[in-house]
Amino acid sequence: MDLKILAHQTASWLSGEADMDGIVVSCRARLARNLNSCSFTHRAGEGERATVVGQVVEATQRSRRLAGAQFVDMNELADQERRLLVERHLVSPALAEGRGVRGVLFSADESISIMVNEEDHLRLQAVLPGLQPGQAWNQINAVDDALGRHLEYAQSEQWGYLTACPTNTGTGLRVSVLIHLPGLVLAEDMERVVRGLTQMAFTVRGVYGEGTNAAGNLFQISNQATLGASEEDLSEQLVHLTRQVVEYERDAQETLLKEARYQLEDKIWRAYAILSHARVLSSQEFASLLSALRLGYSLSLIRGVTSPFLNRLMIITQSAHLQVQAERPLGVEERDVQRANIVRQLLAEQAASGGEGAP
Amino acid sequence: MNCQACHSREATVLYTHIIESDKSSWHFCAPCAAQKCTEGDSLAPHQELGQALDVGAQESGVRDAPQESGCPVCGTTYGEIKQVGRLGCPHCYEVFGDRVGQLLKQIHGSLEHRGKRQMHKDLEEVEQLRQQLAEAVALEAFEKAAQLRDRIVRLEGEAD
Repeated sequence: MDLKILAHQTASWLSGEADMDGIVVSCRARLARNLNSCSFTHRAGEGERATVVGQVVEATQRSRRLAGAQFVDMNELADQERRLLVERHLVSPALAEGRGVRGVLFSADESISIMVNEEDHLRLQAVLPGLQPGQAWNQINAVDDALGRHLEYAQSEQWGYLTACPTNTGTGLRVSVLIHLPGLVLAEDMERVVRGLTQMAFTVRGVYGEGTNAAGNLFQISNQATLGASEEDLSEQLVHLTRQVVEYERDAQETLLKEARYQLEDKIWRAYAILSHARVLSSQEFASLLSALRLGYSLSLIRGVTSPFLNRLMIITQSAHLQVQAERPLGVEERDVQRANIVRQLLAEQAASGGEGAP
Repeated sequence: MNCQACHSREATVLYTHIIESDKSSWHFCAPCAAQKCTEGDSLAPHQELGQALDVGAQESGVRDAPQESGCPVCGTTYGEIKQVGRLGCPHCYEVFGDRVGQLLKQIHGSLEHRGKRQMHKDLEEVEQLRQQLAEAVALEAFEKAAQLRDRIVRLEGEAD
């Protein structure tokens, strides 16, 4: 499989559908599954790991839904290519950086991916645009049904699906949303949101950057407990809580608009100006400017800059993407120049097609 | 040897009970041993049969610390599970049942799985349906045969 093609295409989950004013970027349902007959990955020898890969690949080939998906062996990829898959959210950093026989299968539109020999033997995920975790669960449930006909999963009557880490035992389901919260960050109100969600056994973490320092004001909200609630309940709870957070975010954005309209407009248009003309853009600076642009889109202060466009920019300006596009390794400075070039070019194209402009 | 408590499963654990100078031993299966340990018997360490020799070694003072028994399938000890934060294999859940249960309760606030269950048995069901279908066709019970065929298609069709 030629992964270079990926660096130029846009995954279906970035389409901007159902995104609630650009606030909810995407949602994901992930299942952890293990084969009953093998030790968990961290304890399995190469022989056992190869058995797992063999059984999973055979099961996917027998399923019509997955018949076209190829197994991508992590050991056969260059560093850059492994990182490209991480940046596209097709594999986890843990799988990319791991050792031994391991890999991934994914659908052509990148909405479904199956990691093999990550922390669990199988990690199945479905990613969709906007707030529709119930549909993401339905999709991955169908894939799980298809594979489960041919694989004997580890499970217990009382505790459900058995996973390597006890934090995933039960449904093995983690449902999450990728959400943009610039208003709440500016209003310094994130702590209240985090506390509220924690009480409901959900967690919030920054998507880019370490710990709570969320570059670009992008966060991930996900369920913490996997035992005791059904998959449908978890998905519904996530929708309910996310809607609440979106309401808070809208309130915060409205307040900002009311109290500091000119400063806010100025911040957004300055971001647009810098992105349109800069010659050097670090990933950190880019993330923060892109967030301002996305806020402009949410508040309809900027026309033509659509959420699929913003999503595409976000993905293709990441460092492995830049290097795979350039077809050679780039140093940090070269990457920052290359990032600025791409952003400038795409914004110019967007403007030429009648995009940008004040309402 | 069968478990001395349930008399059905194979005994894999040597359960030794010492109160002052009184020592008694039983052979239990892992679930029964786990149950014994949660019955308020805080003095009851359980030891895998394979390591039973260690008991003698301890008594004669050759070893100071009692060696913890591991999962009979993958060899992982509970100490390793605590250290790594992961179990060794699916069977560890049964082997360390009581302690894993406490852990799950702590993490999830619940011990009852209310979600999806595996459908692997579909394969066996399809086989049975095929046999019934052949019989129905032989008896020329075509209406029944059509129903059976639909069920087989549904089970095999993976709904995609």
